[in-house]
Amino acid sequence: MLRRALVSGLLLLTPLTYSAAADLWLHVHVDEGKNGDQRVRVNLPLSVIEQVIPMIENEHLKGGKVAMPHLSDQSIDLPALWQAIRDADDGEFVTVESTREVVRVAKSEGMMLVHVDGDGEAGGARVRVTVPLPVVDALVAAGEEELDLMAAITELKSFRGDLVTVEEDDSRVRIWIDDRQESGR
Amino acid sequence: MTRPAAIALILVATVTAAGATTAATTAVALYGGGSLSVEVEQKGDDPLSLRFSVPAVALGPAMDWALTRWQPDPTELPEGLDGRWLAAAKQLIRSLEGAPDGVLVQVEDGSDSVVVRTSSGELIVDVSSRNERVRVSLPLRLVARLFERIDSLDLPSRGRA
Repeated sequence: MLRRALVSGLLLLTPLTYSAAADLWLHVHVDEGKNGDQRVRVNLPLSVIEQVIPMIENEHLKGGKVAMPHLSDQSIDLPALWQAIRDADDGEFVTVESTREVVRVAKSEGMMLVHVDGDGEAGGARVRVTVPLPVVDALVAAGEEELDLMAAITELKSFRGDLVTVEEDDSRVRIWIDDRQESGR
Repeated sequence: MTRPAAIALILVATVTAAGATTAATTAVALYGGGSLSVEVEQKGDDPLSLRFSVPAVALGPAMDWALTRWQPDPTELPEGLDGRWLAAAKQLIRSLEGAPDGVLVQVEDGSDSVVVRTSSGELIVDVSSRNERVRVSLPLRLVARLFERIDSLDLPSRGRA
């Protein structure tokens, strides 16, 4: 009897446990100062972001979409450009080397990667941006003149890990997604 | 025990039970919707410890009364009170009501810190420095009601009038 009651109780708790684990959080950490004594931590549930973004309206953002009119002005067909990259094999697409930094844009194992490596002596930044391909798919699906931010956020719900890290002198920025509310890392 | 003493004891017990029930019912009615709580602690040469709590049920009408009499100067009207940002703010509060509890924002600069978090339907803001600590907590529903009222008043147009 006791065993049956325990099993029933556990079965009842299972959906609650699953629901709690399914809540994803976007974390932003900013640390500044030699001892990291200036710190900013932002933790937002993706579900909240998903519900608030469509309500924000300004000259650039409306209905969860970001207007990019200058792209068509410059005859850039973003969806077509993206499709060409999407269809290509993994590899490095862009490399820009200057005296201050090296910028690389690559596609690798289902991710778009942007790496910026500054010259250590010149004090440049080290930047890592990782975006899953389905997120970019969703972002550019809205057409030539806008980016579908809402669709991209929806796609991000199946991603866990670092999106952006920036390290420069005494500053560090990290943006990532996981299922933990506390951003202790 | 004599019969009159027993009757007196029963009467006292009945009155006490009725009083406790009334107090509990009143407390639930007053604080069931949460309350705005403010705690201030100040150390140093001029120490201060201040704590007060106002039930949301009482604060709501007071807030409504104050807002209906507010005639803002259009030049001083906060930018966020136009309809565009208000809609997003309302949605943010509604979403937070359904979201898991946790620390939303934490800013630290040396010994100064600001923490904004949600807990059991309350929005809690902690501000602390070397000599001061302030905590404000208020029900998310009260914040939602504030935004609803501001929206319904159409303050930007009243300010322009």
